[in-house]
Amino acid sequence: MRTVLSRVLQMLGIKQIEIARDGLEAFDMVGTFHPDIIILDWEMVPMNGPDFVRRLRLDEESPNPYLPVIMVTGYTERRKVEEARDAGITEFLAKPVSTQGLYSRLIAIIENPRPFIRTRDFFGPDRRRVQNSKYDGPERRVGEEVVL
Amino acid sequence: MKARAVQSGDGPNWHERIENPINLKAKTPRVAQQTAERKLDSAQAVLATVAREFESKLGEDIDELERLFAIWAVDRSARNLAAMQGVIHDLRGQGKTFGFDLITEIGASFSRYLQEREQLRPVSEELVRQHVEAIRAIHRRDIRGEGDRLAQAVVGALHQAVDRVLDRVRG
Repeated sequence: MRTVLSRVLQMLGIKQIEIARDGLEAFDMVGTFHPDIIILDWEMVPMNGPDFVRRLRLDEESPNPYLPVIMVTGYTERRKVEEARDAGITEFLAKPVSTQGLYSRLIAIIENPRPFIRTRDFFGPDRRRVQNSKYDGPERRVGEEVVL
Repeated sequence: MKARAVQSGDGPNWHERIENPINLKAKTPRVAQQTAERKLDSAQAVLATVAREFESKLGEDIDELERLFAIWAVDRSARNLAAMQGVIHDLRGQGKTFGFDLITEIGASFSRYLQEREQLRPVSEELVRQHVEAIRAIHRRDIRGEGDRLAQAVVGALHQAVDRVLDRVRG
């Protein structure tokens, strides 16, 4: 799948692409290659996708905790989507992968970046994709229900 | 440009909002709509090519999987298991994207078994064999997408077999 994505990205005009074997190598490469966006699979050994993102966002030695991350996965269950979101992913791309799906996520990251939110138990892109300007109730950032 | 951070709320509701900490828009060249559409078409063509490559190589990949299974059945080292797991991981990752949804499903069942079993317990050769044979059968019968009821029943039976083994392990 790494090779597939790499070839599709090249066709979309992305010139510098590096491939990591797993989450550990990817974490090191964030500090050396300085990517603008990371695309990763959920299933990786020894460090899986959500663990990688948590480390990227929260590790004091993270080279770039704000780096946008697209998680590619065959999982589409709500529980998994929520787990990825709570780990701090930026975009979720469900398999089967399509060029349009990948392209639209890249455009969303570039054109409509979400702010980062830090609470006592979360750090990552704002989990509220819909901002309700008419809402005038109390602000809740802990234990809240959010729109996916 | 330094990102703007605004703090609000007290106690458990405290939070900080950081606007656009990485401004990718500023470093991304603007492209005309037509150019973007052309690039998308090229990417789509590449994906179609890769799909054909996957299909033509699938038989060889399954041959390799069977070869690795035979090696592992004789020498059940972690290394031999990892080699088999690597092939199944790749098949699983690409299967659904290229129309072989059930290969992805079988690969997921196999991964679940290996991940959730207790590490010290021996891996069930019979269960691994069933997964390998099911992948071969999907390819031999050229079953695309979600397949027919029989194919779905076979995959469902694999999931159930994994459930049973894991239940036994958990006691």
